[in-house]
Amino acid sequence: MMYGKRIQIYFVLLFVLFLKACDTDFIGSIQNFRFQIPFYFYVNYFDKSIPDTSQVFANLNEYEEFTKNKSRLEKAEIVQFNYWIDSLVYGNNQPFDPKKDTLVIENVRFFLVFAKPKPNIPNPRDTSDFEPDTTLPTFLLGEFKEVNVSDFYRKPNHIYVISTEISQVLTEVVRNRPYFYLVSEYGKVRGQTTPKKYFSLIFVRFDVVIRFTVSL
Amino acid sequence: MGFRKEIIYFILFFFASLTYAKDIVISRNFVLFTSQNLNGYLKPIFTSLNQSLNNALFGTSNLDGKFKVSLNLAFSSLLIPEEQKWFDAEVPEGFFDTSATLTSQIRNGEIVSFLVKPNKQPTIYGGSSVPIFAAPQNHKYPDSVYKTIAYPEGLHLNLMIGLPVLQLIFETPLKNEIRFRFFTMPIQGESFVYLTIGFNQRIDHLFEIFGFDKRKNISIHTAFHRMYRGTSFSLTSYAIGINVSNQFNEHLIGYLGVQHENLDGYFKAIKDTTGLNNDIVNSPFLELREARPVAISFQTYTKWQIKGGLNLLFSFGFVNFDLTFASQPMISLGFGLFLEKKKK
Repeated sequence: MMYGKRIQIYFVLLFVLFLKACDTDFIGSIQNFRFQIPFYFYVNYFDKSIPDTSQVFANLNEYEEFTKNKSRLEKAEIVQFNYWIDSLVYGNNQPFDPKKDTLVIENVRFFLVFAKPKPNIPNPRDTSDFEPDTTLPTFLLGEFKEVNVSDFYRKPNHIYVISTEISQVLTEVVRNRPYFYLVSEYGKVRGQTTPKKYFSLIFVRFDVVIRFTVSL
Repeated sequence: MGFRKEIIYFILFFFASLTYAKDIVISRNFVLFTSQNLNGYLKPIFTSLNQSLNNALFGTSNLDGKFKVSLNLAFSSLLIPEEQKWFDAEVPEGFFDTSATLTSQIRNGEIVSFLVKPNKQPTIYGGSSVPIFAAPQNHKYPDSVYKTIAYPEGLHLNLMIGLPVLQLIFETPLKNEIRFRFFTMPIQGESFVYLTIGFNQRIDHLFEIFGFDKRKNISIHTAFHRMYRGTSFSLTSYAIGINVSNQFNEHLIGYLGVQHENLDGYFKAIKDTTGLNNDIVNSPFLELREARPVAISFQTYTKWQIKGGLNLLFSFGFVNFDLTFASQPMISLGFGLFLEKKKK
């Protein structure tokens, strides 16, 4: 009889162990699905002069992966950011040759600026329908110093990991206002003696990878 | 007599499902996975499924030749090993050609400017994925399509709950038992059907291995599982093994078994290609650009299970608990209720 009771106690203990094994963040984990999506930004400047600041507008509503999951969006985080130069032509219409030319820009900085629709626009879609949201802070995404254009010329090896501070703000904003500007600020060219240096053409690429967490 | 009608209905239903089978159609903008990557991503969950299907196949009775019908409910919990949290993911073909595109990624905190092999990306149980940045070296098609890619992430799981088992166990005077599971539900207007038949036969008495000692038992067991939904989804799994048990007293049975098992099957879905020529799918993967069907074949890491446990018997039923050594170590807890019990 004592033997039988002891066995029953063992079973109760094993049952508790079983429940303990199941008692993890399991339920929370399977309620969410996380995926990363790269967003490609093609910025084509013609007759560009530097130093200068310019911006490119991003509207996540144009991406089906985002709009399909928007209502179930739990979190949106910018994971990584990459920048490279795709094409460059000097002011004298000579194309940049990465093997021969040396061209160094003192610094290039990228900011994230949240956008808001301009007042009284019923269905804002286009860049001209939006303006910077000054109620939210501007975030520095990345700063590249002494940018040797040859190192950035069609080379995707300048990856910036984005801080959690920016990611948290993005989550809060992106559900209702999934629009933002990527602002790029170019410094002087090394050895530049004139106030402005002109280029006929500069094509640059930003690839931004955003991680979305959606509830299932 | 009454069962015959049900069996006829079941056969008619089975053939009707095949006759009116419809393909699953998904949006062509579903670009998160190629078929190969979906295969690798899901392989561990099919392992969990296969292990839990092949759970609760023996150990609940000493097969003493008494007629008994029981309803058995078993739960399992599986430990996910590190090696099943990642897989070698497919990259677009053009990524191997540095004259077409240059790639870079962050691995172990370092920027790596070449294609890393294996391309470790998370399975469904894994963690964060690693995006691969790609800069096309010229802007004309097809090189221009070889752009940055990212992968879905895992659920960060160390433990997975197995598929619960609900089965009827018929124990016969021939010192064997038949286990039967059945479930059906409609999915996109098509019936999903799940069926299991298991068989466990005591054999020690045939060779008089234990003489007059009826408390000790050697049995062989096998099970066949089938799941399907029209022509889109089909899964078969089987297990075959040997188990031994010892009835310590009228309330307690200890059991130990080893089984070989495998899984086979496929999932197929076609993509909506309406107007594909005007609305190009933006992906570096050829399969996704051309909106080819998603086709995956099911695989499992687990081929063998070794299971040991205890079964506590009561007048109304039983409770059993076992531990399994397999590629995903598993613990299982079962409850049984005797529906019919007759003396030999």
